[in-house]
Amino acid sequence: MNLDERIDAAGRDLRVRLAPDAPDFGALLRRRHRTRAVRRSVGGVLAVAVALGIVIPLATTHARSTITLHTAAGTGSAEAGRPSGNPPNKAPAPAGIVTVPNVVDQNKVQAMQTLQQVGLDIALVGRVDPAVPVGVVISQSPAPGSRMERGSQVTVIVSSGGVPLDTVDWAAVSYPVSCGGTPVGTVAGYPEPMPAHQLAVVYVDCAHGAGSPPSAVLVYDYATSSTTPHLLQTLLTYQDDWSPAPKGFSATGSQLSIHVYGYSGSAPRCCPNINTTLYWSWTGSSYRETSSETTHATLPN
Amino acid sequence: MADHPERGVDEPVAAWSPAGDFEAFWRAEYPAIVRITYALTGRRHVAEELAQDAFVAAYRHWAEISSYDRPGAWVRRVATNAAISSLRRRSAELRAITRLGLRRPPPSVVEIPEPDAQVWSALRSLPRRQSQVLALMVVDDLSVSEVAKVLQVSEDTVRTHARRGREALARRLGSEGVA
Repeated sequence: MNLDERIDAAGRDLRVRLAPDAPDFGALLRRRHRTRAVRRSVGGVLAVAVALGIVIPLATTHARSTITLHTAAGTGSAEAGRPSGNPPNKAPAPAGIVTVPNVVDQNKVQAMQTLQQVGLDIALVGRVDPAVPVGVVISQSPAPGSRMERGSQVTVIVSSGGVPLDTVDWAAVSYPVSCGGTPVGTVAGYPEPMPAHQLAVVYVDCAHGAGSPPSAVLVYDYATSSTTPHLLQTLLTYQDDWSPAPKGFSATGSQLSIHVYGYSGSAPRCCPNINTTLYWSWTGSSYRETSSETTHATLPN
Repeated sequence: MADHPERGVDEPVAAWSPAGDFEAFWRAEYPAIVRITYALTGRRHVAEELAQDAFVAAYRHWAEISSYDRPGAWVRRVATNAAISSLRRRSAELRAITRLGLRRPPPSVVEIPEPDAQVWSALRSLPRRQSQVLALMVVDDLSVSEVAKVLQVSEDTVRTHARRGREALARRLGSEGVA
């Protein structure tokens, strides 16, 4: 048979041979939703575990083997998962049944307040979860809407951060930087994830010879897509006359800082003569430069 | 080709009919989309992941897509574009692996040797448009006008890509001494 026929025959053969049944779409969608939720910083460790097929012991059993913190006014007598008999505040609680409020996605202070308001005790359990910002509630037990005796304890699992879940192939991202060579990105660090944002600070180099300084420092948000991270903002470009120090990036809470070498007016290109740290703070949707601190400067010779 | 001799009772008539409910569309079209993405990626689990991605996207926009003449064309466009992008291929692979509960692909997982592996790997080595056009024509058995609608290009463009693609494919297969 000629090659054209062989190609067509291969197609016919594949149609017969490969006819997978469509899986249950509802289940598929729930799975996708969970995966997406992880990336969007709301789903948390449960979803990761489900995706990985791991069974996690639920909070009530878990709480006993983990540090259980009571609120400042707590009685200290309660065991996890068992009614303490007393509310966390000083006044003895009127007996009664209360509805458990939803504290998922609140930070732990808000969660304490929310639960205290209805007269429930809280047990905080920390868990490393790269997808949820530090201090934010991942899950709770019992579930919101459950009925509990006033003074009972709600176990609240709070993110204690961790290594960011980064599936982005940063080397393959196309960077909007025009330069002599191919722009190559390397992640300088991961700022603390902000609600609905998974951030990475990327140094972009022009791959044209050794020793070329980063030509841009960019902030990417990969919460919604690990294949095409969203360019959130440009922190620095080469035109800014700053040259970021290779290990000069750091992120603390909502603040970023980059240690840079700079040039005063007459300095030659070879030799940066100003040593400065630039700071940015998170404003809810991007970083704003707040201040710079010249830590060291030498006068040009 | 235009008459779909192979589209039998259980094959996607629904896809090419207007509107319809999503579930029926999904069941009818899923195998065909997997075949296309499989031919373009060569990996079964990646192919399924990409096909599912396309349907999830279709589901999200179903109100709009279901009103199109051919929802099947839409989902084919999304799936072939995704399959072509090596980046997405990678990420679908990652997700598939994650779903299988593995951190990295175990060396023991080997795709079953394909009887026509050479044809498909030659197809994948073609330029983007040519491989898309040929996957839709050869694997999905679409006509020139149907492919044009899927890829939103003119029929002449489809014919050109198909001709060049077939020539290149024949050259590649011929040079490997396969006949």
